[in-house]
Amino acid sequence: MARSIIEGGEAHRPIRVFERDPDLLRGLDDREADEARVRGVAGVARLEKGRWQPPARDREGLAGHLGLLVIDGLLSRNTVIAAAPCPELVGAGDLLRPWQDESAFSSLPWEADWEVLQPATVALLDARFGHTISRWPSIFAALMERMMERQRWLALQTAIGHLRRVDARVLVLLWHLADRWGSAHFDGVHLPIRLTHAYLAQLVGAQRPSVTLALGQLTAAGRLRRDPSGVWVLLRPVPDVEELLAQPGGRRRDAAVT
Amino acid sequence: MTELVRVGATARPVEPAVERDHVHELREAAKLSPPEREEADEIAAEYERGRWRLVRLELFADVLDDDGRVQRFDSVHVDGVLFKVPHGADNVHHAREAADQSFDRLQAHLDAEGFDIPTEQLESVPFILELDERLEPSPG
Repeated sequence: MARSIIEGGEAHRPIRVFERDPDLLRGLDDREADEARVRGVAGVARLEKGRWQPPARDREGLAGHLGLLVIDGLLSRNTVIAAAPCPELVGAGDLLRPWQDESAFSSLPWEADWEVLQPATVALLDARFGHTISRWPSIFAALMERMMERQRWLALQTAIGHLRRVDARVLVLLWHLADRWGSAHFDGVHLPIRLTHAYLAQLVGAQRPSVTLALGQLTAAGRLRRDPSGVWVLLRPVPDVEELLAQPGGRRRDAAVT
Repeated sequence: MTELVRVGATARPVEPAVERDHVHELREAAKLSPPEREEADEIAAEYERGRWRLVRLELFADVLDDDGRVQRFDSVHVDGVLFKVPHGADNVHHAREAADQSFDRLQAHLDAEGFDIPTEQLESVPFILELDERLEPSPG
């Protein structure tokens, strides 16, 4: 097995990447997809909860490396300017190139660090993997689409932070996260990721106690609830953001006003 | 012509029994799964060390009436607001965010009093936070 580029990441047996992330094959016909599933093998690393130091830009083995594809788990990339952190939440399906460090070329000081919020598995899409899949350009297109999605989601996160009220920001953010990592159930959309109120506050650009207050109000308004396992359950209907902004405390239009 | 001068909130301490209930709620929240368990536990511990204070915000709008007098309207309140001790800028930001979520109620109150002031206007005038004397930082 090739030496992993991930320091401290526990080495695991290689995986068939497209069995874990079949959506990347949607541009192929059945015969091509079958072949890609067998040939698309990559090493993986398991990242444990806590601070994570990704490989440095000049680390051996990064030439031609496509990136790290998150198979499961949850990570946070925190951009820090003047001690004010602004996180980006990344998880299953996201493609990372954490060794890229644009801060070195910036006129103003800022930095970024990484934290594993829930133990994560990443597939190492190295140059050999890239060579293997080079016969299927649509897979590269799908990977580029993933990079573009991260950019668009970040833009959406910025837009959410511009909403006037914190309760609206929190609810819209949770629905956005549910679109990415939630699952539909009869009682609502379940969001199994666990985030502190302090972290949610950083995501929406608010004070931590304001997020606690907003979550309490949204729960009382019947917009969401926690199940005993700690999973957020987002209650339908999906909020109309303009209506939400017009309703004090996130109340639903059909809720009694007290 | 009616003119909205400013909006704001007066922060007042809550009854000790309400604070005790709040700590109890935090301790209950601490029974959740991690990482919120650790967070709720930490906040409850800090609270018990006196680093937080539960307050009630009484929102107000100061309106200049036709006779040139400033009238204050203040029937709307927000509970569950948590201030850091000692008082600082974070509390002002938190108060503003908490008030933002209730300006619609303040607007409805003003409307009932005969003042047609849209919510957008409440958001656009200066916001001030006044502290009850029991919350004022001690001099020096």
